[in-house]
Formats: sequence, structure tokens, C-alpha cells
Amino acid sequence: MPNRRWLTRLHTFRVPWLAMVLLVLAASWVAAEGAALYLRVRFAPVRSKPSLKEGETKHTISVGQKVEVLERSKDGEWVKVKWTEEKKAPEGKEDKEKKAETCEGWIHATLLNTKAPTTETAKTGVAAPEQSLLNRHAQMKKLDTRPLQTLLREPHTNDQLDRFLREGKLGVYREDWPALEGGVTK
Amino acid sequence: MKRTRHSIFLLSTSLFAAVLVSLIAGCKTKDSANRASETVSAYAKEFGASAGRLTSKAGEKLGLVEKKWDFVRFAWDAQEKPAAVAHNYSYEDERDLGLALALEFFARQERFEHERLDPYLNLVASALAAHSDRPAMEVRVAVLRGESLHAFGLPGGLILVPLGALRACESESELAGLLAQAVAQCELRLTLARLEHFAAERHAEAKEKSCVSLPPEQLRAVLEDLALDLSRNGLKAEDARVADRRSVDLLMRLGYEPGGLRAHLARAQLKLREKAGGGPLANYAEFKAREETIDARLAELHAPSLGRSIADRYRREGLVHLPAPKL
Repeated sequence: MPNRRWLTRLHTFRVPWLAMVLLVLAASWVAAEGAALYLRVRFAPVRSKPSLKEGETKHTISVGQKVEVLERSKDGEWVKVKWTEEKKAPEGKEDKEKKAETCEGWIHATLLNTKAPTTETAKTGVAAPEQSLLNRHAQMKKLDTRPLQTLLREPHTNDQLDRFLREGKLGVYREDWPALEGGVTK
Repeated sequence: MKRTRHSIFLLSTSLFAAVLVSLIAGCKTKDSANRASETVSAYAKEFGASAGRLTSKAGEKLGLVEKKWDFVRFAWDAQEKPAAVAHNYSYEDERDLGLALALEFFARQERFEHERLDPYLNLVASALAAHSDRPAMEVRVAVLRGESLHAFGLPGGLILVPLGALRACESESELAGLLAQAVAQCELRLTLARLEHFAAERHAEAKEKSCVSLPPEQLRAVLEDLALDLSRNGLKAEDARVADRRSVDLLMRLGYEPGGLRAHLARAQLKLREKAGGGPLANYAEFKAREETIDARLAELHAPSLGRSIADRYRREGLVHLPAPKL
């Protein structure tokens, strides 16, 4: 009987079988926990605790930063992540002394995605300012470029934008913000 | 013999385990990554044309809407196709074209600058852009001394808002609606596509070359024509509807009152009626179509009418700094 033969075989190799099952479970757990995600907004605060009310902002990460998932909060709204950041060399020292630093912290799951966001492509070959399309156009038409000068100044810092969102209870600061994970498993 | 069998068995079991691990590791994230879009497509497939009209409650009952907050998940996963642009433009190219176009606007309408109003408008627009699908795009807002009700999103993230459009807002969510429409124009490259279209209509070589590579004389004429057309007629009706759809997603991602843009449109119509002496509006159909687009998007996302309207901050940081309209 073929069935009986399989049973006997299973009985004989029960230790390797059990080991295999355990291996599969462990590997899938590791795969799920260590998934790489990307920041999909321009910047985001990384907190010391999985809450906006408790703990403090430890780091700020920028758009497209690749992070590795370490664990999730019980409600699934926060994800503990780690990533490597290039440590800036102290002033006066050469770039050779740059060191990579591993950072960790909690980030709201809404801000992460499995896909890397679109990045703005840089121009290939930089034209001299006086030859730029804008200057050529302004000179040709004798247009006043002064209104553009103030427009092109940096209007605010990321900190100011973060404060603006916090004051307005917008984005992740919305108290009833849902747990969204960019589709990542809970 | 027994040993060989044993090793073959072990080898095949390990292979099976390896395949299983890779399947689990690969499928788990992919499956969940597409969960929201799958839910939407399953839902749309099942209900066909009436999909957009299904209420949140009905969706929850059918198990298609997992929880009341799924509309934000849908808004994040919503993919809006950017306008078809024939040539490749770097971000700097887009920015240069946008700035040159802005100069054409400034030549027609004076820029209104205010030390408190400008940073505030830039913060609202930046917050929206930071939550768009082009989060690295840097937006800048300039106010024009005009009474038009359209905001323009020029290539590269430059936004021009006339004073008239700002006066038709009564809360931050309405302002965010107005600016979200302009951010969507930049994000989806609607004005850039229009610029290409204008260039191709006027110059045969624009079909082969990008606008940046056009001879300066030709580009000058195209920019002039486009600025004139936009300030007179506003965005093309079709483009306006695409931008409206996207602006609802942006408002939702940030947590503003979802109907902010719709409320702004209603106020804009009232303003126009006042100007017209209470008579019927010439562009009533256009407004109606835009309102329907917004309503359809809200229904697709099962969005409730709640959200942050933030009227106080708008009055404090925005409204009080607007100059009185010229009579």
C-alpha cells in the first residue's frame, strides 16, 4: 500500500521533517520582519517611542530613505525601523573619515511604502547662469526678473513645515489618523 | 542504498522548503502591498458603473471596505496617470520653463508680496506637495494682483494664485482645495503637456525637439501665447477635472476636510454671480462638471464629510492680510 509506505517514511524521517517545518516558519518570520520599506513623503520624524505624545523625535528622515522593519506596535500603527546614515565628518576633517551610523526609531506606518517614490531627475550638464533658458528669455523680452528673486528663496525649513502640520493636526498629527501601512502586512 | 535514498529525500525536502520560503517571503508583502488596490478593483468589477455610488456602510457590509478609514488608504494608493509628455525633461528643465512662464504672467499682472501671507501659502502648498506622488518637488507660491478665480500650477512646482481666488476661500481646507488643484497640475505635468501641445501646433520642429531645445524666438512666442491663454481661459476643462480628482486624494492624504475644493468652487460661483448681477453663469456647465468630478471621487473613496477645516488659522494667517478689492 503506497499510503502506508509514506507513513513509514514520514515516521523514519520525522526529525528532518520537523526541522524543515521549523526552518520554514523561522525564515518566513524573518522575511516578514526584515522587509525593506521607503519613506514616501518629503520628510518624517522618527520617534523614540511608538507615539506622538510620548517620547521624543530622535531623527528626521527624508524622502526615499530605505528602512528595514524591526518590529511593529501592537496596534500596527507604528513600525520600528533601522537604517544607515552617513555620519558627517567633523569640521576641518576630510571626507575620508565619514562613517556610517545605524539609526533606529519608530515611524508612523502611513508614511512607509513598499515602492520607492519618484525622485526628480537632475539635468545632465549644467549651463552657465547667464545662458540659462530663464535668463535668455528674460533678456530677450526685457522682462523684470525681480519678482522671481524672492519667489526662489527657501520659504521655510522642514522643521517649520513639521510645526505647521502639528499645529493644524494634519498628516500623522491628526489624532484619529488611521493605521495605514502602504499595504504592508500587519 | 538506504543512505542514498535518505540523502535524496533530504535534498528534495530542502528544495521544497526553499521554494516555500521564497514564496512566503515574496508573496506576503506583494499580496498586502496590493491589498487596497485589489479591494478597489474587486469592488469596481463587482459593481461596474455603480461602484462609485456605493456608500461606506454598504461597502463595510459586503466586506469590501475593511474599516471606516479605508478612504485614506484608497487615497494613498490611488494612481493618477501623469499627462503624456512627448519629450524628456529634467526637473531643472521643468523649473526653467515654469519660471519663464511665470515671468510672462508677472509681465501682465503685478505680483502681490506679503511677509506673513507668502510663508503661510507656501506652507499649505508644501504640505500638499510633500504628500503627493512627487514628494521631492519643491513648490513656491506667488500671489497675483488679479481677480481671477483660477490657480495655476506651472511646470516645476511654481504656483500662481490670484487675489480673487484667495478671497473666495473661507477656511484653510478651502484654500488647501484651491492649492491642491494647482499642486496636482504640477504633479501630473498638465501645464507642461499643454506647453508642448502649443509648441507643436505652432512650430513643426517642436515635434522632434523638446521645448527647452527650441530656438529662443520660438519658445518666447509659445510661452507668451500660453500665458495669455491660461490667464484668459484658465485650464482646459478636461485637465481641470483630472486635477480636481487628484486634489481630492491630496486633501484626503493630509487630513483636510475632503469637500474643501467643492466648497471653494461653490463660493467662486457665488462671487461670479454677484459680478454678473445675479444672472445665470456663462460657465455654469463647467462648474457643474467639476463639482460632479469631485463628488464622484469622494464617493469612490467612500470619504465622509469630516476633516480639518481650520477656519481660525486661515483668518489669522491668510484672510486678514489680503488687500481690499478695487472697486
